[in-house]
Amino acid sequence: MEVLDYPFMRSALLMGLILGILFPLMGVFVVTRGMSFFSDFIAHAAILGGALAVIAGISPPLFLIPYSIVVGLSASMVWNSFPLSRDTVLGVFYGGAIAAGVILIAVKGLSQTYLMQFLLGDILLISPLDIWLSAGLLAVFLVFLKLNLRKIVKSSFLPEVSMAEGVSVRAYDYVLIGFIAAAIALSVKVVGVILANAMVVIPAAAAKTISRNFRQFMFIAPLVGILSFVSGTVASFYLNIPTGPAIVAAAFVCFLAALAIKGVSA
Amino acid sequence: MTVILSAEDIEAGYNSRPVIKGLTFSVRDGDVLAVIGPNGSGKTTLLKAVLGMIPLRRGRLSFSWKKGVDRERLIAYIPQRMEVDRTFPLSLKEMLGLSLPGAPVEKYIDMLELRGLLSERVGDLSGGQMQRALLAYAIIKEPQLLIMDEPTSWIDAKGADCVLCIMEEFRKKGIAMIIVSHDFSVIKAAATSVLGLGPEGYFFEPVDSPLIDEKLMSLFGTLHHNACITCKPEKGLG
Repeated sequence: MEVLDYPFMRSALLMGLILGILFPLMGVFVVTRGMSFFSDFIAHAAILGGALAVIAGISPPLFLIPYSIVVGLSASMVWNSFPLSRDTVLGVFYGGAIAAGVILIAVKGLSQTYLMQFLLGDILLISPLDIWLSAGLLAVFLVFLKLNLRKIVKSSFLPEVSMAEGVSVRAYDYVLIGFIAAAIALSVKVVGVILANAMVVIPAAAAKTISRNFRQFMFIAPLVGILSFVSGTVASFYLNIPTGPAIVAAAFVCFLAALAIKGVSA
Repeated sequence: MTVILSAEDIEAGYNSRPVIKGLTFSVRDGDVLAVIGPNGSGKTTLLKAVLGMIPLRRGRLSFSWKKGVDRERLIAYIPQRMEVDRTFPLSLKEMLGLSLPGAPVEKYIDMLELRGLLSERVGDLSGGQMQRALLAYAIIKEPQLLIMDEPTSWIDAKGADCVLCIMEEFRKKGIAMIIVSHDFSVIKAAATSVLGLGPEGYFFEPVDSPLIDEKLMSLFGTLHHNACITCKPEKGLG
């Protein structure tokens, strides 16, 4: 295949395979715990994080992972500690992070190209470090799921009962927030700030629509994710269209297909 | 009999408002403590305080659990009315599997008439089926302390009889239970002691105490129905 002749495309496809599994598996818990707006916030907060990384002269992925975790946990501590709902706190932080990021970009004279790369992603920017970090994160997340799946599902579906049984719903929230923040930070280069959240939510939403049980849910979501990342990346190569939007468009088609399947079987 | 739970002069509430004050009671293994009282008297607040879901402002709660056993294995709780996400893709079998690894699921699914529903998505269950599913989730692990908030309020008479059968079986096994109920027939049939909460204070009496009717009358005296346990001895006794 011609697409595999180019090293940057091989990197993009490899990254897509990793994120195609990682994002939807996280998305399963994002959509069942009502955290979709949170992952969107983390993606947009990366505008500020990326600017800070460039100004500080630190490799963006290395900076963005701890930055996103700190920002995510800070926001969650605010909504857990003050009489403010989660979406209100995220709305406030969301606006603040974007405003600060754009101001910083303007003041420091970072180029519009830089901003556009952040907003929409650019697979040419994927480095071996990004791939290794993503693979490492996927491995750690799979181990975490293996050890904690029953309690995470329980705390998602029966939070009040879980608390009564001594299962810490908030602790699992914090751990998932950390994982989601790290994954979003790594994906910004591929799909961009605007669309990163879509790749967390859409495959999981498509799988949730047609799954009759959790086993199916956990299997179909990454399947949709891999299909979307690979087909979107290949389509962007042959059709000469931006990769991030092509991946998200492929995922959206999968979501529409899931709606159709559900509609037919209902 | 071993005291499983001992409460000494406990006070709990929300924000600056104490809802329960100065309660002292105990629950031994095999006991069924019925918590009763008018709406707003603090029944659910008491359960949440016992479960550690809201902090105590005063007093002490002590548990004598089996040593070295996870709390998840020891305690089970069925809330009054649980709003679950009906879009959650989870089969009933998977939901019961969340209770505890290796829990004897088979033992109770026939009793609660759930066998034919095991592959159903829990979101597709009716209200009564869901209540039975939640009951099954709680009891299959055979905890040391089972706490139920109005367990019969959302199920039919046959289901309510099942609850009473299960409570009787658990009582014989030495499992302690705390149950909030407005149904005096359930209390009469199952409880070994009563904790009555009211605006003027509380009482804690064995269910066969000669004072129990008088205390219930003083608690519910302003209500024209359900005023006395002995008024409805025959309904729903299973």
